[in-house]
Parts: sequence; structure tokens; C-alpha cells
Amino acid sequence: MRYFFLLSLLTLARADALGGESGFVDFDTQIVPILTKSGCNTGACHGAAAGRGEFHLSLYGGDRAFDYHSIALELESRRVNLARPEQSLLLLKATESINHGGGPRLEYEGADMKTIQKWIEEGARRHKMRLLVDFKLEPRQRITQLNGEPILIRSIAQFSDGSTHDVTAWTVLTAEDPAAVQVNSQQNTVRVLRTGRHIVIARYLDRVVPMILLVPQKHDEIAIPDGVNRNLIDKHVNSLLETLRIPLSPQANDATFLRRATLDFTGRLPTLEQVVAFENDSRQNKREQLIDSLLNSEAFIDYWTYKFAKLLRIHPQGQDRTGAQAYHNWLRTQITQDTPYDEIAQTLLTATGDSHTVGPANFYRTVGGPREQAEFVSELFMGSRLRCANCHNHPLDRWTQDDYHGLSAIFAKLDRGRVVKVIENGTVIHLRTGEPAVPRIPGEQFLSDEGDSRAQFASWLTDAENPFFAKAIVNRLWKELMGRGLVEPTDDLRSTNPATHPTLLEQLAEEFVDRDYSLKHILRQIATSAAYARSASTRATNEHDDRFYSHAIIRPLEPEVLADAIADVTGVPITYGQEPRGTRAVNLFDPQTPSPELEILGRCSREDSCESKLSTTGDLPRMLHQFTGPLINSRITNSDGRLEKMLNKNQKPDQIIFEFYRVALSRSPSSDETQFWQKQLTAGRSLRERREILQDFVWSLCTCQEFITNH
Amino acid sequence: MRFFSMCVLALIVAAKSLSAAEPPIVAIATAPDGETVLTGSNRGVDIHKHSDLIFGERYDLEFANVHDLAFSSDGTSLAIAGGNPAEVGIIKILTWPEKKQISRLKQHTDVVFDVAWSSDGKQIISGGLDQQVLLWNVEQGTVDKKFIGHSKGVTSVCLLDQQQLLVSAGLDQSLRVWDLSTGELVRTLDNHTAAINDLALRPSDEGLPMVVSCGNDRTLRFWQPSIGRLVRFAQLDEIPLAAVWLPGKPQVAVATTKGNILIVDAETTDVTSRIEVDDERLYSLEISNDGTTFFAGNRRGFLERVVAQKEK
Repeated sequence: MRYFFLLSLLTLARADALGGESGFVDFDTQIVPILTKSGCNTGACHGAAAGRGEFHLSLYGGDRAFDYHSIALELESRRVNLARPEQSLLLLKATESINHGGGPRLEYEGADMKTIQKWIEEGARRHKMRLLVDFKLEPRQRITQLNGEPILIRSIAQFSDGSTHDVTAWTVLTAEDPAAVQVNSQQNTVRVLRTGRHIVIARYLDRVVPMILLVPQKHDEIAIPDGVNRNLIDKHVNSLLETLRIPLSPQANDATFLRRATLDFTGRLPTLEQVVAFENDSRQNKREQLIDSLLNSEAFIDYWTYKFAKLLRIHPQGQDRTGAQAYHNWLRTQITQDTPYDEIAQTLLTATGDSHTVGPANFYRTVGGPREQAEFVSELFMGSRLRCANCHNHPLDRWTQDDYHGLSAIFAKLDRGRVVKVIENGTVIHLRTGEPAVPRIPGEQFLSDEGDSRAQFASWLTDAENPFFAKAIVNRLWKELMGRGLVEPTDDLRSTNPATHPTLLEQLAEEFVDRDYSLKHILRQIATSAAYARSASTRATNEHDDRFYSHAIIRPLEPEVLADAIADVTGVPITYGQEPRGTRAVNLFDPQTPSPELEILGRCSREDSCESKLSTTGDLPRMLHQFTGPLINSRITNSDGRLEKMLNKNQKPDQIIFEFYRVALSRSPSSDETQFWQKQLTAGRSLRERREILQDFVWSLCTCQEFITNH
Repeated sequence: MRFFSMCVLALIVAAKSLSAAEPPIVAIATAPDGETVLTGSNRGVDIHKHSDLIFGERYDLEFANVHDLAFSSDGTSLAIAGGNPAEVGIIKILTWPEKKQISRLKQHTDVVFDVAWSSDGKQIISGGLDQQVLLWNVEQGTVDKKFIGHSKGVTSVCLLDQQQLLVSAGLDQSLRVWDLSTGELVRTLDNHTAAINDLALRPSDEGLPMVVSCGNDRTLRFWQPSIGRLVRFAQLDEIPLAAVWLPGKPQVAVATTKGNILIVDAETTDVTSRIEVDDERLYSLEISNDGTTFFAGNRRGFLERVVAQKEK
């Protein structure tokens, strides 16, 4: 006997929950903010990747559908009791009426508890009545006093139904530096405990907005000296220094400027001849002339190819070095031609072909797969860490899981073998849905799943109006010359991590676009500012400044640059694997070229990001090696080295000291320094002893802070 | 797929007013007399007439949640399983139809999600969200054995009497097969990639016993737990929450999150029918003893009935 099944149910006209029932509590915009304010959905609690206590919420309420499922549907709706709402597990736990590992989160019979209870009484529904369209803070920025009165931060939310509400009570305030800013989450006030510029992040639903607090130093207003307002950079930098009452260090002297600029643009120390020529140059604009000449030098091409090779992570694939060589050659050509940066990005993003002959095709062989490619691309070209949105919507940025997996899907249809080519199939599984992700331009729109959508993405990315592309590279260039990005870290541009000088970053980015995405132009702009030319010497009142550019930031020399510098000063080159003698470290396209010297100095393998901060002193092995190892010592005593040659030519110790100072530090020794070494040499009773003292002298130069840093 | 879609008869249980919030019906049982249907929710146990679903009476409970209702095989006892979330799990055993309490089994520390009777009606197995599986002596109200091993809550249990095996499944994505006499874990079946919502044992004495499991990974998996074999699986478009076998047929009916009842062929894994019952998720599903009627409970407290029509 077979049966058909006949549906028998009453199609009773059900409540039209959305129409005419505006008195309902809205889960998305009322319940979730209560949970967020109460800390229920933080990473330490139920917002953790695996939830807590078998109750899982999305991080900071980033996925309301998921939260609704967890609260109202999961496990046969065990967390809400529609027959006896006050007995709902959700409320019993949150008020700690029963044991709760997180303690009490809601006041019993308080307003928030009553709101949740009312929502359950109404059926624990998700009406999706309205969307948050805007979220504002009052004030957004405040100049305040140290230990002054608490500042009330009001937050206003505007919804898609046209309503506007004061949501201060459900806004979560978090100080970027809790030691500097005290947040009273009950009163929604902040109080600043330290001078400087501080960020407080306000969160409501999925919006996070920064508030900036500026606290000037206590002393009197400062005077900006004449001659330090050269361009828009100085305008913005000086303005903030004035506001914060941080005095400026003087301009660096010519010798320091020459060394700094030469290292920054060529990765080399100025030669003896350059030092002398710059000293003798009496032109008013000799610094600008120097910058121009450095920008047009062959050494600039070498060094900035090296810098971008690190950024692009150019390295061989296993034993295959040919692709990396082709990639490096292509990059060098772009630097030589000052190819517009948007063109470089377009070429890389849309590249296909034989990686042994088509350099840019190696862009798709640099990292593992489409997800890694999406992370790499977003950090490289957008200065954004999309990777956080792999497992959950980014808690501090706009990126959602759709954005992450959607961008990954754009790079999914590629065969990443030696010949990089587009393939028909290729998907990325969306972690939340378990389905193949739809290609998506992050934060913008979904794309067709048919064909190759990389060109669409590249077009969006390099559009003049793109809010990320120009800022990301300008910020990186700024960091290369100034020692710290306007936004730090440079791959973490987001509204909740604002630039120290936001208008400056915007204007530099606009200028970059207007000047046809010329890297050289922006480098020149920065290097010709008074801010760049400031001395690294500090005053008592600006020594703690590490981000407002009141003085130059001392930076360690990169391992390859330091290796080349040691070779240049000692006059004995370092040999790298099978490369010809005399090859400079910055010219090595392969970061795995055998070199114990570079390993000790800490070179980057380029298999991952090379942006980790280098210490100005180096780690212990590096220091020990420098002090006692052959890297410096063997070169000092080498018969072909500078010192031995000078001694063999019977040059006087004074001459030797003078030349080494100039070669290593680009300056003459001070009278104290000269006297010190003369005294040491006088104590030497034999020629051998004096030779050893001079060896000690060169050793001390090559290991001193002044030598191993750019300052 | 051939079935009539016209509505012929219905009753919506406990829809007292349009704005009232009715708790979901998460447990259904049909009484042995074939005349009565029981539903479990936050309100207790409601008893309806089978033929027209007319509400008869409510059996009030001293605990908040009911998650399972199960009659003993001789139909003389009813187990009501549930408890207070995160506090206590309780199983009440009543005589049927007198509804007199025989025992009150209370040792779980979170709600009991599922129970299964032994064929002689003397023992009952319970699985709770406290991760425990307990074997109870019904008459004495004592725990005979504890089966400890699940790392998350247990959502379903079933008993293979003849093989002296017990199968449990839960939020840790695993099915576990236990030796009923020793209490030892025989094997773990971990092919599911998400939590398991329900198990249903094929009511047949022929061949090896077969169990179907419903996973949040949108699969139905057919197992022979006595030999640890995954026989086959069906990939669905929606998440199955509850399953029942159709009497005398190699078919399983599953209630889903999309409010559908799917009829799945256990041999081919094809979905042979999709009955669009509701637009709300169906938490519970039961089939009448004669196999002609489904009862499904949804999250809005509606009990819905699907009647089989004889093929013309």
C-alpha cells in the first residue's frame, strides 16, 4: 500500500510582525547591543572562536543572524522560555540567578534585563525592523588637560527607519592605551592620565568609531622656529606639535643629513668624495640638489628594488630561482622607469604566463593559495588586515567574512604552477556558510562567479577614488624615510587606528594620485621637508615623543645595508654564495643566497612579511657576532682592507682616524674623539701595539650605535 | 514527487492570540491507542485527540523544559524527559493512561535531551546536555550505569537490545557505541562534521540494525553501529533536526530547519518527497503507529499534521 502525504495545516493569518507592531523589541538593534555592552560576546567570553560553555556568539555581535540562532533557536530554544520568560536561561545566567562562569552581567530587574525579558515575552523574534545607518560620537576630538574633568562621550545612532537614538548607554568605550586613558563604562566618561594623543574606540553594533584626545604638555606654548615650514608636511607636523606643546629639535647638520639621505635613498654610506663634496658645497639648496641626485642614481634603483622586493616577498620557489630572477628584473625596470604605482599594481594583479619569463606572474607564486593571496593583497595594496575576517567579521574594521572569502574567491581560479593561468574551476569555501564563496570586492559588491574577476578588482583598487590604495603606499614610503608610519602598523589602516596626522596622509595620497602615482615624487616631498631634516638629538621636553616627529627617529640599518656598510668601511667585500666578488647585499635577488653574515645580521627570508620591527641594537647573537666574530674583525686585519693599506702606505694615525670617521660616520671626529685616540696611540710603545690600537679604533667605529643606525 | 497540496484539516495548538508567544513544540509522542498525540514544550505536556488534534488536557510539570516524550514498548508507561537548563535534568515516568508517577529520575546536571526504553520496559537510557549517558532502573529509580565519553552535550540515544549495545550522539559530532553490559565504549563514529541533532533506529528485526543520524552538516548518515560501518549518507540542502523511519519501508522522514519534511530513501539516499509544511523550523517529528500520518512541531508552538492519502 502506498500513501501520498497530504498537508493539513491551518493557514491562520499570522501576526504581521513588521507591519504596525513597531512597539516590538528589535533583536538586532536592541538586544545585541545589550549583550555587547555586558561583555557577553567578547573574545574572552562567548564571542571566542569556539564560544564558551557551549554557547557561542559572534564576536562583538558582528553576525546577528548567528547570534539569533544561538540564543533563540539552538538546542530546541533552550535559552529562551516563552512560557515563562523570566525563567529563560539567557536571563538566569546573565543575572547570575544560577551559576554563571562569567559572573553577573546584567542587573537583576534592571532596564536591560527588562528589555530582554520583553523581547522573549513577545516571542523572541527577529524582526529585522531597522538597520543602523550612522553612528556618531560627540565629541569626536577633544583637546583636554592632564587629569582634568571626566569627559562624557555621547553616541548617537541613526537607523534606517528614520529614527535617531541616543545609544550612549549601549556604547562600549575602549581606550587604546588603558594606562593613558581611564574609561568609566558605567558613566561613559573618559579621563586622560598622560600627555600626548590618545585614542578611545567607541563600539555600537558593528560600527567602531575613534575619538581622539589631545593633551598638551604642561609647559608654555612653544615657538616654531623660522625655516621649518617648507611644505604641507611641515604645516601639519608643526601644527600638531604646537597643539601638544612639544618643542622641535633643531635641523640636523649637513653631515648627518648627507648620511641619512644617502642611506635612505641608496642604502649606502656616502663615499669619502661625497662627504667632502657636500661639505664644500655652498649652494643654498644643496640638500634639495642632493636629494635629486640620489633619486636619479643607479644606487637608488638598486636599493629601492631591494625594498620593494622585500615588500613583494620575492624569493625562489624551492630550487627554482629563475622565476625570482625574472620577477626581480621586472621590478628593477619599474623602479628605473618610476613606473606609476597603479600600473605596477594592475600588472601584478592581472598577471598570467610563464613565471620564468613573465616576472609579474610570480606574484601568484609568492604565497600559498587564494586565502593567503587575499591576505597578502589586502595588506600590500590596501594596508588592511583582512585576515582577521577569515573566522569572524573584523572586530575593529569594516571587513566581513563575505569580504575575506569573496576576495579569496577572486584569486581562486588560478593555476599557480610554473605557468600561471586562469582556470575554469576553483573555489574557496566560505567558513561561515560552508558553501563556495562568491567573488567580492571587499566592502563593495559581489562579482560574477563566471570567469576571471581579477581585472575588476584591480580596476577598483587603483581607481583614483579608492580610499585605501594611495594611502597605503604613501604611508609605507613615509615610514621608510621617517622611521614610523603615519599609521602604525603600516598594514593596519582602519578608522579605529587613525593616522597621527590624518589630513596630511590624505593630502599626500591625493598628491600621489595627482602626480601620476610617482613613488619618486612622494619620496622627494618627504625628504625635502624640515621634518625629515630634523636632528635626532632630543631635548628633555621631546625625548618621549616617538610619533609626532619633533626629532628624527633613530632607525637600525637593515641587515643587507649594514653588511654593505661594513664592507665599504673596512674595504673588504663580503662574498655571497656563488655571486661574483663585490656583489652588494642589496643586489641579491635571492634572500636564500648562502651568507652566514646576513643570517647573523637577521635578514628576512621574504617567505612572509618583512615588516617586523628591527631593533636598533640587534639581538644578542647579532651583537656577539659583531663584537667577536669574523664579520668585522677579520676585515679589519685583512691585508687588502682599508686599514692595512693605509698602514702600509705609512699614513699617519691622525689621517687614518680622520678618514675612517668620514667613511663610517660621514663626519670628522670631534676634538674630544681625536684627543682620545691620540692618547691611546701615544700609550702604544711599539708599532705593533699602535697597529692594534688602530684596529681597536676601527672595531669601535663599526660596532658603535652611530654606525649601525641611521639617525 | 506526488502529493496533494490542498489543506483539508488542521488545528493549531495553543495559538490563543495573535500576539501571544507560544513556546516551540520540541517533543511529540503518539500514544499506543492510536487516538492520542502528546506534545512537549515549555508549557508542559499537552494531550490532543489524534483525529482532529483537539486539545484535551495539559499535564503540568515542575521543570521548565521538555525535550523528549517516549512510551514504553508495551504502552503502559510514559517517560517525560527535560529539566531546567544548566541546572538539572529530570525524567518523569508515568503510568499510561492514568498518568500516575512511577518514578522521578534525577541525576543529570543539565536537561535530558533524549530517552530510550529497553524492550522489557524495566530500563531507560537517557542522554543529557551534561555530556552524560545514563542507564536507569526505572522501578528503583537508580542509575545502573554511566557512559562517560562525550565531550559535549548528548542530544540523542537509542538502544540495540538484541546486540546489548547503546548508541549515543551529540554536539561533539560523534556517535558513540557502548557495551550495555560493561558500560565500555565499543567505538566512536566521527564522520559528521557538525553537531548531531537526532538518531533514529530502524524498526526491523532483519539484518544488522541500522541507525540514521541527522547532522548540522546537512547530512543524514546511515550506520550499522554493531559493526561500525557508515553504510551511506545523504547530502541535503537543509539541516535535518529530527528523524523517524517509515514503518515497513526503507525510508526515513526528517524534519528540517526550513520547515519541510523530507522523505529520504535509505537505500538510494534520494529525497523522494519534500513536503513543505511550514516556514518555521520543525523541531519535532512523529509518525502515527499505522504510518499514515506525520505530526510535526514547530518553533512557534504549532502542531501540524500531514496525512497520507492512499495512492489512486
